[in-house]
Amino acid sequence: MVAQDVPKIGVFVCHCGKNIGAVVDVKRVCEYAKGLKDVVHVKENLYTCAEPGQNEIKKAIEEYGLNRVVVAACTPKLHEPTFRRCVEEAGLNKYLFEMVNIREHCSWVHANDPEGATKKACDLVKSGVAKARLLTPLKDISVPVWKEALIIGGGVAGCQASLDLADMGFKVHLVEREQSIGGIMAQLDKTLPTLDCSICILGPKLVDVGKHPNIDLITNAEVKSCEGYIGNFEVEVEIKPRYVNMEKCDGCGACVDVCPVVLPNKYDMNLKPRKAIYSSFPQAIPLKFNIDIDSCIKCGLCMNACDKHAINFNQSPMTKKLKVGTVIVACGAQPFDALIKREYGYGKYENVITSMEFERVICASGPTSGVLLRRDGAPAKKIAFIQCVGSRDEKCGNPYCSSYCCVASIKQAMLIKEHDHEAEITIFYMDLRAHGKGYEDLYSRARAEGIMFVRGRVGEIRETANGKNLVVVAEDTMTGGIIEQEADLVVLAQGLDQGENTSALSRMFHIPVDSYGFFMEAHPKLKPVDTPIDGIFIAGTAAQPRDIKDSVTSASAAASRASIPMTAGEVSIEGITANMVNPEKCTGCALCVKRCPYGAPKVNAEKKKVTIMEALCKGCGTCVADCPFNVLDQKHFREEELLAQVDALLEDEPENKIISFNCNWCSYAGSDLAGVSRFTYAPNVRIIRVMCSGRVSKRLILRAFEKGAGMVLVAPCHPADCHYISGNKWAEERIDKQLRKALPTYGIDPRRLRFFYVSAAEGIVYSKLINEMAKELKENIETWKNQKLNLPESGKKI
Amino acid sequence: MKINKTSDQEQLLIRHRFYAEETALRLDRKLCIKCEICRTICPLEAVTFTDGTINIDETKCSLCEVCGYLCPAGAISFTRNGSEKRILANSEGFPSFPPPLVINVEKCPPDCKKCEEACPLDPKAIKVVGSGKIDVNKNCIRCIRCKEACEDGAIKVNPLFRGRLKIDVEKCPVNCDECTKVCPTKTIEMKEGAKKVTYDEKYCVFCGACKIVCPVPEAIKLQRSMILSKDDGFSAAWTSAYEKLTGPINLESYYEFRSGRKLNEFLKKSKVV
Repeated sequence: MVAQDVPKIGVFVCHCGKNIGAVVDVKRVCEYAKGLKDVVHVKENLYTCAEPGQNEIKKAIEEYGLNRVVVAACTPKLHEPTFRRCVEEAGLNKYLFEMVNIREHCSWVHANDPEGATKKACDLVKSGVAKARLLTPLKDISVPVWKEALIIGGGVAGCQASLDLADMGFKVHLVEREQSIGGIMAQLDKTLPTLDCSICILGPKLVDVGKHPNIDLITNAEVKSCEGYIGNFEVEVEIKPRYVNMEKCDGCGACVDVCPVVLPNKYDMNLKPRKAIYSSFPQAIPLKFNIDIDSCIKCGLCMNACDKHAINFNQSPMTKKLKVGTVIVACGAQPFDALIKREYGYGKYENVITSMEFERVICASGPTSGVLLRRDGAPAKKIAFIQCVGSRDEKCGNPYCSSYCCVASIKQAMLIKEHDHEAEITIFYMDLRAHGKGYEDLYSRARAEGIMFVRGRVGEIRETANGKNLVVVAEDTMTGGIIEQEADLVVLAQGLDQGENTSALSRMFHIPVDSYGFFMEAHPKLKPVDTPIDGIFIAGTAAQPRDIKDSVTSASAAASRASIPMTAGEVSIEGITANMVNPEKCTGCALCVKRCPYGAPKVNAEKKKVTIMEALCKGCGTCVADCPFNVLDQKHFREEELLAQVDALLEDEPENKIISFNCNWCSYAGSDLAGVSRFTYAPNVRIIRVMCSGRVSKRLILRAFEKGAGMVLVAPCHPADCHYISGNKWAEERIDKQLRKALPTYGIDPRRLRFFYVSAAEGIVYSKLINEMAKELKENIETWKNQKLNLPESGKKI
Repeated sequence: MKINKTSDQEQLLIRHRFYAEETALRLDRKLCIKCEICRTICPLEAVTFTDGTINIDETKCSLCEVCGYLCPAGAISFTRNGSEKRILANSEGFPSFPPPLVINVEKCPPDCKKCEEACPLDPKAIKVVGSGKIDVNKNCIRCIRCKEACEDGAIKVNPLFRGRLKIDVEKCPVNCDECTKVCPTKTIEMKEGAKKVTYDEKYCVFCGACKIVCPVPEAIKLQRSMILSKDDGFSAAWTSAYEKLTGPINLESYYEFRSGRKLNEFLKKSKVV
């Protein structure tokens, strides 16, 4: 059970260079810590996480016989693992360590109020020490890892990751939504900066993927559901029917000639026709045909033409169940819809095309066999490129730079010059970004070839009087005037938007997305291919707009990261699970079973009692908060520990304080982001970390009001985003509905309790919320501080 | 691809415009007899008629050629890059049809235009353009007016459908002549002073336009029993259209008779074979 020894707590307060030290008076915090009960050693460090700092902790543990360690520094989401490892190396159980956040939650957000920041830091250290005092040693659970991986998306990133993992010896299931792998790279004509033929370099990779004995290629399919956790994901894939028997079809194409239905080919950006039975492009892998059943008129001419009898109208969707250890999501991005920029006339004027459409036109397998013609068949002699269409554009909601479009347009201009040296090409740009290797050289070559560059935003594009050509109206910032340039073809360099499937996959796998809809990395600098969910990685343009080289790099990185748990064969799961502390009180009401989305509580029918299967428990604590008989508790977030934190934080001036219960995955990360972004907010807030808002019991909140807290905030994930699937839903039921209704009967103004959704990307939202709450608190503090919590006799059981 | 649809009194034009290619469907409204056969057989249910005006839903239409194939008035045509698109028609999945008329011009007396005068269509489907030269337009509806009018037996007609037409004039409302207004061959007429219509089944081409406008449900009984193609097609789109126009029982008969099965069994039973 509990370590029976007297707690001997060591407190290490970090300066973090100037990050903490410039705002918080670290010496004062250390003095304060020395005065706390059970604290036997206090030390300040410049950089606690560096080797000297860690060595000091280890030495102190030995020298002073420390059995609890508190480090007050940055966010635990960054260095809790670092320090846990450090204390473990010194022989102490790693769960006897507590981290206090006085950087992201303190010095970085209260830079304008050093006094308030220092007071807050002292409070937070007191809270950390209060919890540390009660911590107990815990063991992690070890789970086996399936040595198979799921890769979603067969573009260049997905293919690269598949080949890497397959070559390492793991079995890979590659699921691709379209009939063929290849993605956007397969649609390009040439790649930059070398002007290599895109499909020529991609084709052999696709063939390798198709042939590799370790790759199970599942095309024309989508992932429908995913359950489980790292090492043990159970995935259901739905394979849409092709109406062609894959084993019998040999890709001869006799069926295509006889089909009477002519439709646009998505691969060719709808510029070239295909039939109802088709294969997207000549180098498709797998090279099999499939029928677009909604447009098929069921004439059966293809059945007759196929001498392999491969066509089968009896097919129906199939479900394939997979068990994998890791998942790499490489579902890509989609080109910005240029129709949104109405002023450029795309969709209205037939000679305004997008850069993707241009790739198909200039490509030898495209609608004009690679000759640069306009829709009316006339050759294009004067071409204008418009940059930043749908990128760096607040109005369309895409303020980011898509990074590849400047050099992509330069590449396309060079291709035009290759086809026709006399062509007059002008590129209208805002800033030219040529960041990659060889990109600046490509730009210099383009200048040497006589390609004109005009720095200025294009205001609008008009058609000429005879409707044949276009007039580009732009501001030339070099000359300072408005220019009107005639062109017979305009190419809009479109950026990238989030992928079509990103939201659905985000909900299915619980991977957060940033404010632009791209997947969020676990850490923007140090974990660029991990997601906050263990075992799930991201690669390619699903994470951010990228060029091919960076997509391939991220794919190999993701494969490497994914191979780590699979090679180890087992992975440790944090031992912060729920457990039964008062089993004799269990009545078998099975409310916990209703709360748990993972099936961890199991009812024993005869004994009428519940047991918790710890290997299935993810540690959200929802069952703990809702158990009516106090049977359950959560390891490392015990009720006693959290109550001690509430008490500690409200010892002084409680009426002026806002207790904020932040959940690890969303609002804690969001409040960290507020710190990273240096948004300032009022220093009255004191954050208590829980794994899930579902853990916040009524007792914790009532305790806060009992101790005189000015306001209490519970900040869960947005409704569909809970890392533990439904924790936030039960929290809403319990806190925002039930408790809020009861508060007036207890003598507490319900406005003092806030329940507000904050996601990991919403740093600004959290800071604005706290400022607004602090203002409301200030306005009402005189009345509120005199309200006393008056629980009815029965209520005292809460 | 951009789908362009233009519709006016002259024509309904649906163009599928790719970058360097174009496929198009053209319905000549002047030739359309509003029989709704196209609506009946369209595999994607893209054709609708409102108040007698045909409309094709360009988001559903795949330009598959089936409607144009069996249009009795030849009102629908298909092009791909300017030339005729006849993938279905040229395939063995669909049967070929004999020409509407076979004219032995040697039998024609000089300056005789009786056939042209008898043609009930506008524009005329048969035109005498010179002595011994007669033009037959694709909108010929295969009625037998010209054949009957020819006193020299020069014309042979190949009808499209075989069927029966029965109008129960007892059920007709008095003075109602809706059917006479749409009948392309003037099979049904309201004679001078008559209060009810009269008809001569011999000129009926079984297009079905009368049945559509008739206000009384059971007054007109029109049943097509066969589509008279020259040979057979194996395509399911063909047999599906056959069934939609003649009914499931007649489709069964088509299978049996044309495939020779019934005849074979009959001959076997008779111990001749």
